[in-house]
Amino acid sequence: MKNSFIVGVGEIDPKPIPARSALTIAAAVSVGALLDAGMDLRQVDTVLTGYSLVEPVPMFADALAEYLGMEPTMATTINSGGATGAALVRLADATIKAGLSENVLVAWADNRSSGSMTSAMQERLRDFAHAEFELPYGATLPALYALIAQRYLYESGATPEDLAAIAVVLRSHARLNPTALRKEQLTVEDVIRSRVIATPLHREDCCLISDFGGALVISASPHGPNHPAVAVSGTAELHEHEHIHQAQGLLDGLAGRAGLVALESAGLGIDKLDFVQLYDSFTITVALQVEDLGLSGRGQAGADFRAGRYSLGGPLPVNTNGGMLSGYSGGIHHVTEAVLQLQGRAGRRQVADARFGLVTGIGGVMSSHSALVLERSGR
Amino acid sequence: MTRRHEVIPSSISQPFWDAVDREELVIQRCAVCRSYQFYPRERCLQCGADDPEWVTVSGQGSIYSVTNVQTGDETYDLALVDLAEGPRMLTRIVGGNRPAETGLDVEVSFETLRTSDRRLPVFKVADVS
Repeated sequence: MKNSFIVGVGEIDPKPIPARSALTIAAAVSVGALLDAGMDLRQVDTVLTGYSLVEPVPMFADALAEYLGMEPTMATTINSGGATGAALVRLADATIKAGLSENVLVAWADNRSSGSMTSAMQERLRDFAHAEFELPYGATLPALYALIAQRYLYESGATPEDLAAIAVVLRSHARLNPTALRKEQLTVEDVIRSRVIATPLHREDCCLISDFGGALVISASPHGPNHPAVAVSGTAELHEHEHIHQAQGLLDGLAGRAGLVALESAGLGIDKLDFVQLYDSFTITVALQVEDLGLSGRGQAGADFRAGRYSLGGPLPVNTNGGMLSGYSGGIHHVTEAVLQLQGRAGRRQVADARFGLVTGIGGVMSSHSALVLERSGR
Repeated sequence: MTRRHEVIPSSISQPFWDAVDREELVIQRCAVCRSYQFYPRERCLQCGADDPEWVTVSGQGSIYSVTNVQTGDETYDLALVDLAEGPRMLTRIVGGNRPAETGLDVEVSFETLRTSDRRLPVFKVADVS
């Protein structure tokens, strides 16, 4: 079975710049990815993008193609919440394997902190709660994840300090990342003392809302003048519910399922992974993923983070760029970071001889799930 | 600033809201396979039969999970409650003589909240008998 290959990557510095639009960020990172791939715009036949929460652009992929002066034969906008990033790569891989595409531009960007419509954007974040049967109760997205966290603590015996340990490790990684938003030292006590959003989640248990932007060029052949190509070895998606009160098995292994299916589709044992980039909307999201992937026992994620199991330099680094908990909203940066790691371009946060990585995306309230197994190609 | 969310019933959910106004909790139950479902749909999720019936339920339930939400304006207990009949609702725990905790039994009540423009079914921790 033919692979698809990531041959170029572009990323934006997430620090907000006034009057920057989602579209201009997307255009900038797209041009960066094409330059990185040593390719011309005209070689791209397919444009796949995510969506903007801030700007009313209903057909984002078409708008980006127009902005860049492209006339693709396929332009699709994916809206899968936080699963969008990995789902975009999955779709690119599928269209290449189906023979529909030769060279795909994947891009996702948004200006969630510098955008002028931030209050409208906050309202749209609330849309993840059911308008008729959840929103009227004052459901907010962090509160819904807090409900999951409370049940997790109840069932597992883990503590809020266990969740805090996750934020602490991820922040230590951010300190090695020149473009991370939050680099100041974080302790468990700092997390527990930060403002309570909804018990047991504090401010530092929650990802930041920032600008973000990432782009990839994905191709049927592993060409590329500068860096090793990264093969898409396995992908998966899973959609079990949309709204939290409709979920059947929130704590029944759901958080790890897409990752396990992606590993199976790649024919790769989880022990072969050199790093994992796990969607980290909240500390609970990470805890459930490492446990449901079978990497930690139930209730043990925090203890394993404390013990250094998931730290850079440890057995299986998690979120090597500091994750969304240290900046980079959306989740596309988990994909771009994975590519940089596999290409040996991760600077001080480089995982030695990284060959295999897992990337996940989770949207809504544990609603949509996507996962990728990426592999360094050649060399 | 707390925003009041407008509840806009649909044709399929109107009976639910009419019952709330009468201080009754009604849930759909399939006429063919007898399974309960919430939120309301035109067809049974289990067997596909059309037009599930509306039945008045006991109002009893238990807390699957509860969180204390602390916004700038107010503090409240948001919860997932499993009805005795099976379906789960996202709701609030209000009043009561003891703090809301996962696992406790609850009973339905009907109140207007600051976040809504109409009365909603909410739940109170049941008295220990």
